[in-house]
Amino acid sequence: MAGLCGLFVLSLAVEAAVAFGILSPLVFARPSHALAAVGAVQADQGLVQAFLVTLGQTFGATALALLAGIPFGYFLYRQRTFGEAYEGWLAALFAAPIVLLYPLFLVIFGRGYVTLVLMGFIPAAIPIIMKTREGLLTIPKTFLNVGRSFKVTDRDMFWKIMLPAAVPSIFTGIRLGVMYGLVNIVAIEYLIDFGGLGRIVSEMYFRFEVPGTYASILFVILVSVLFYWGFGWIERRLRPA
Amino acid sequence: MMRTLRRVMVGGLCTALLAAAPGPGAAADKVRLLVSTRGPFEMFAPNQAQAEGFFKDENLDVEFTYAQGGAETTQAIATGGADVSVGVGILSVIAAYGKGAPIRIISNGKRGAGEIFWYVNKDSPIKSFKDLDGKVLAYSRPGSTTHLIVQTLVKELKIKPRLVSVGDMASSRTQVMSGQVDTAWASYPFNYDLINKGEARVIGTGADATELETFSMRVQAANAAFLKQKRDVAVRFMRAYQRALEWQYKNPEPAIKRWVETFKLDPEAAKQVPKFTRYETVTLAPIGNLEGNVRLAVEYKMLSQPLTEAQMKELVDIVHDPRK
Repeated sequence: MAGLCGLFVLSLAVEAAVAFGILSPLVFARPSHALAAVGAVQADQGLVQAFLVTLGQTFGATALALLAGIPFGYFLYRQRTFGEAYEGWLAALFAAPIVLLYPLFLVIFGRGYVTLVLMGFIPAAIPIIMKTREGLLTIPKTFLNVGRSFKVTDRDMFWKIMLPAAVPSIFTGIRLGVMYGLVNIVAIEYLIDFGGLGRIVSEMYFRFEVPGTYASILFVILVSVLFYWGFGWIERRLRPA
Repeated sequence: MMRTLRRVMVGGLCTALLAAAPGPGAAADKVRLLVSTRGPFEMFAPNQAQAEGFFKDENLDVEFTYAQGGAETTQAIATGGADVSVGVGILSVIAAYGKGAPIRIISNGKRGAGEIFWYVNKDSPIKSFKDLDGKVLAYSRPGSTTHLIVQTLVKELKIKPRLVSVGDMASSRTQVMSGQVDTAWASYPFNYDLINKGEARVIGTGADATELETFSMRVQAANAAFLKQKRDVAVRFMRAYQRALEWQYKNPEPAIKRWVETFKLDPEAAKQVPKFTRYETVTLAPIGNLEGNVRLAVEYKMLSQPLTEAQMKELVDIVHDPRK
């Protein structure tokens, strides 16, 4: 509730700032105008359909990142030598602007959804790998000792003690992954004029439709919020009480 | 006493001479120039002006920046990020002005678009624009010259292609040669080496959009506040620009040589460029068929309603007309 109130106050401030010319209307849209533009952009460009496309691509990229990232993170935890060897490389790769590889991906995978999903998958997988390993490495020794004292099997040790203890770190990685994956996907949609919301942001921007641009960006934020809430709900269920 | 008087007179004379002597030259006026796209011959005029000293003659210090065409250039001008732009698509200027942006057209850039061509991979079954139903017809970015041309081609030729923004000429070339899109665009003589080597084939040019023959496709634009506060600077800039344009066409050999060296072009192909970009089409005035351009802006949804007569009059402000 506090967050929503803060957002409302910020919106009022921006509304007033643009209305009174403190902020340029050529750069900033009044929040009321951006909301009002949603209908027009939907009628002209299919905003809702584009939202579903971007949501689907992000879901696909995140799912692939989870399928690859968590097992690989576990592998790097179990194989200490590999973990220590690749930690720096993964950190460096995470900081690199992978989005600039998009021309190469376009040539290899074509101008389609596969390219977009893969370009989202790479930046999403890296933090998941790193945070999974980190989460497993930082499990309190007490937890493991208690498990051993109860003579639990390796399987039970992993599923009932290690994984629940590592869940907060893993989900931090997932949230980071979703964020970077979504940014990459929308950026490439913008650059190649293909796909969902990024394409509409580009079209509105180039038509100088400032409210329409912000209306499209609102829907990009909505994608992010949905994933954030969704993974938050799953984490609460997986986290130990 | 006479010696003292003589000293006073010499000292006074020296002081008077020093006071009358011309002081250090006035600092040059700065112009932040944004070139919409790298490459086209007529848009190389500012570079020629810089190299030949025409800007210096007008006491101008021109700072060059390059954009990626279309609305990116217009945005920079409208928000004061640059003072003057060269070669910006007229539709994006009209769209920005129609939405209240402080931008003005200060001269024609290019009328007609015969120098822009579309090509396909040599193995493509596409022979002309008429074979493009369901296929990709590429253009650079929304609001650009190529965007205007392809939309007009669709209307005139009654074809149903998929219009796809592919970015600049280099990006367009990569995408068509790697099979990502069916067609690519370029401005002669860029990418014409593919045609000369037989690796690609031309399927049509901007001249096929016959409606646009008399239209100004690209213009020079300026920020309205810059024009109001520094009109004299704008006039001097355009005077130097005009001088460079004339120099380019009267001295094609050194002009093309410099252009070829800058963009690493095929010298043989480049020699033909004055035929494709004739001087008559790049004169600073008049603006070709502004009413037609406004009509197209409404048709292509760049404007929600046409500009009034008063607005069209305000939009165009030819700061230097060589005809007068």
